[in-house]
Amino acid sequence: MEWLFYLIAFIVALCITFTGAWALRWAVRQGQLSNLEEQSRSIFTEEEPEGRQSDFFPGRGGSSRRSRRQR
Amino acid sequence: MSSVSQFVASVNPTASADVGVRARLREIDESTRLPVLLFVGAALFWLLGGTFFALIASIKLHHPDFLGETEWLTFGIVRTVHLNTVIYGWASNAGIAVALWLMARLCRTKLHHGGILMVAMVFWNVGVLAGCLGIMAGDGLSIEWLEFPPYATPLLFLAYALTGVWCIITFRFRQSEHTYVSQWFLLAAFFWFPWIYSVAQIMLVIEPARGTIQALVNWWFAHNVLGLWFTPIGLAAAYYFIPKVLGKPIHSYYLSILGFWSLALFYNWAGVHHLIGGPVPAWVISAGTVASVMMVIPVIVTAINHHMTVVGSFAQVWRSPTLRFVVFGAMSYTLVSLQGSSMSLRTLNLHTHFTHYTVAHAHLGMYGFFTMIMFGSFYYILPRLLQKEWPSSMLISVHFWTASLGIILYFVGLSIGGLIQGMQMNNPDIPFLEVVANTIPYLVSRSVAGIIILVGHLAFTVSVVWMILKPRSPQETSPTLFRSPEAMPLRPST
Repeated sequence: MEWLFYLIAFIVALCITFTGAWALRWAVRQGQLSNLEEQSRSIFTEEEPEGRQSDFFPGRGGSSRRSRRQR
Repeated sequence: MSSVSQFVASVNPTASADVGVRARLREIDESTRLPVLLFVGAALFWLLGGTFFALIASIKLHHPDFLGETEWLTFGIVRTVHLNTVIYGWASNAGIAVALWLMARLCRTKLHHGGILMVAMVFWNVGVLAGCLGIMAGDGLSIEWLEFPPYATPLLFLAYALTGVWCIITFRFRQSEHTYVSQWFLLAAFFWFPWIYSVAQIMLVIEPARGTIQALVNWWFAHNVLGLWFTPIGLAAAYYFIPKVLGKPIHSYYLSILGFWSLALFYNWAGVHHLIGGPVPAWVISAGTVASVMMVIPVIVTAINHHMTVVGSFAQVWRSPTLRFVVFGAMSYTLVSLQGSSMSLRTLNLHTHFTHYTVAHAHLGMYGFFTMIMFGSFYYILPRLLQKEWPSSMLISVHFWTASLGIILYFVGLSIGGLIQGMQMNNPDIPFLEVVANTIPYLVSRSVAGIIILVGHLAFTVSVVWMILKPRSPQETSPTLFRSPEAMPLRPST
């Protein structure tokens, strides 16, 4: 009976490997791996655009006090 | 039959009425609010529970009589419950919460089939609770990282399968043209974890393999829980939040893709290095060592990317709660990964194996890297879900300083103690009990670090509960709640 579980584990491992290879092929064919530097900007939107910081300490945090002093 | 066809249509993006329509970020955040908050709440519960059990276990190492008369508070049980509550309770709940929010945002689509996630959340946490109670009752298994009794694991697996199905449905409904590197990491994590968990369950619990194969499977699983489950989620969050908060793209997107594929190729071989010196074939150990050293490639690639993105923007990092934690986590990732590669070398492993050095390494990975990135992610996500600002800067600062200083003290103390312990254990002239006694000061430093970390966790919990309960300010209406401090009205100092 033990061999059956080894066989299942081996087949599953093969499936995982082929899934990885298929994912890489899919990415190449879909153009996911081309024009990469432009794609890196895809996380920015009109609501949270590039060039604008989107997270600060609320209110008068210690860091914002320091930044005011620097100004 | 009609209900079946309705369900099939509901998971088919081409049959959807809003196909081609990109959801606004605020709509996406609103749609994910309930399931994400439920996972975050559960994560916080297990974080506090896991920290208390950690403290008890740590104190017992230098004061063995502490709570020693209660059966379910003996060291073997308390330490095991701590491990499982933080891994399956805190870290997995937190990771799923962050992953599902990130996945919905990056796919630019509102939440579909949120009910699946609710059911998954309930099943997962009932499974973790049953597992922990089972360990306390003496039903735990003696398999590292798989101690939950067999009656708890089907619930976990079912919950996990539901979450994975949701992830695939969301990806199918994506309205984004590009699959961002964070999505690659998340999709991979949701594929990899059921693989390693099911194989380990089959070969260690259901039909245990014979002899040393058990140890091989055990460490293949235990190491890959870190490498193929928590690491991809942590890196996905770092690759999203660092450029997002700074408002500038990642330093080299090409390197990030290279980092993902090299991690996929090398990481799952590396776990065998835990068995250096054990009775397993030498070539298996060598293969694990080679893979561990090859992991330097994705680690250096990731380090270059994260750190070069941040260079020149340290003032912005300091002003952002999210980035303080995430950048700390990214730096820890570099350190812990290079340390892990070095520990796989036989010459160093000779001194570090079976010592507290390994414990320090594991905590730098799970806390310094993963947990810190989860904290940072929550600082970004929760205000957008609740449409409220964090209530107190001071509590955030307390949380950051206690968590960071606590884990630094923990890591430095146990690393030094572990190295001394390793060298003394290799010296036959030093009696074993003397070696044990020499570790006590370092174990005390660990307990002190644990108390400091607990203070941070309490501060974070108070922040979250306060934020949920406080009324929403009329000013807090925009999708991005955190505004520049310069644009904020000054509040009277207290």
